[in-house]
Amino acid sequence: MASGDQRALLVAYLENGDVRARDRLVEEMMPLVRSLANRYAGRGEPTEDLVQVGAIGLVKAIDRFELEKGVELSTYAVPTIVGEIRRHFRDRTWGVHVPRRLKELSMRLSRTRDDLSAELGRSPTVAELAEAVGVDEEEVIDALQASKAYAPRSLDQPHDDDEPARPTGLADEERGYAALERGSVVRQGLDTLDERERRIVVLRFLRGMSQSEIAAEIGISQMHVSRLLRKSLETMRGRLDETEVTA
Amino acid sequence: MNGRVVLEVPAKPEYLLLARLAATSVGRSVGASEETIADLKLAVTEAVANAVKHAYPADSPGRVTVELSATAGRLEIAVSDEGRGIDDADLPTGRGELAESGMGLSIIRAIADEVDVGAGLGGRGTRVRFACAV
Repeated sequence: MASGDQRALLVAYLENGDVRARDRLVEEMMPLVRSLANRYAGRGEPTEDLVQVGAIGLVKAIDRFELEKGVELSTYAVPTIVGEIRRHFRDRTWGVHVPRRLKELSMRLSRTRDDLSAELGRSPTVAELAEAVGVDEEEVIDALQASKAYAPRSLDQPHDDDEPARPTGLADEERGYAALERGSVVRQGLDTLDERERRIVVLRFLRGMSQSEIAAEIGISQMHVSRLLRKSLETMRGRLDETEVTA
Repeated sequence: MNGRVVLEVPAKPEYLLLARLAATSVGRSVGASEETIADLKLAVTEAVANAVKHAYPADSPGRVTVELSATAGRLEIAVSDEGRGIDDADLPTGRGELAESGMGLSIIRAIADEVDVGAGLGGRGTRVRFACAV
């Protein structure tokens, strides 16, 4: 949106109380909110929730905007939106009461899991985690269960029956230097896909979205997403095998 | 732990991950919370991404230096380049880009406890320095 239009809308809302002008502004600036919310993705809160709280920040920023200051609304809004998202994390973390001992163990496990995954090149087993942290397996299971209370799943959340579990923190982007190389190999695989297939793969495996969520996002059926995913993975696997042979 | 880590990388997107890893390691070494580490990673990503996107012309890429210093209770990160510098960023072609780099800085300001932006090492380019309590 040209900054002139934006200013006209701000004047309409702030000076004449035109609420439709504010709605327009909010709508026009949602991409900014989304882009900020995406930066906080992967920290245990659903991105859509972050977009919602970010939008609250945006509305606050518009309400408090001072026309005479002469700054762009986006410049003014970013800290407010980020502030609102950060507050959400502060308020929301550990949604269910969890004993302190388990919280601490769950954090230690999260680090150990990253380290072991890097070392082993796969997810560690419960036994391996227990040994590395020096507690028994039952405690590891308790702590892993407890860590789910960090962001309890909504009871209303739909689920797909044929959907494997969402990628967990183990699929986190950082697994040490190996991830850099693996990244470049996967990237070569991604290059063999068309734009839509690539988007689906990225949404599924980098963002951890479910097939249904992806279907809604790009406007095709879940079955179609499932088919395209399978096809994309086969294409990529073919390409990666070639890479390994030539490497 | 008191210590200082300096990372010098080509100004290319594929090196962003190294800066994030360095922030994670240094953050953990001083016992920062996972939340603070995630914030530091975000801030360092924005700072390095700015340097990668804006510091150098496409045909003559340069380097980005990330300095991470840990002292008791405080972690400071400085990201510098030897590129065109922030004052030249308002060249006629750069409007959209300028808005984008301004956004990165606003994000860092929203996250860090202290931020300052100045000329790079040796007076060239840009240096963005920020600090968080840990």
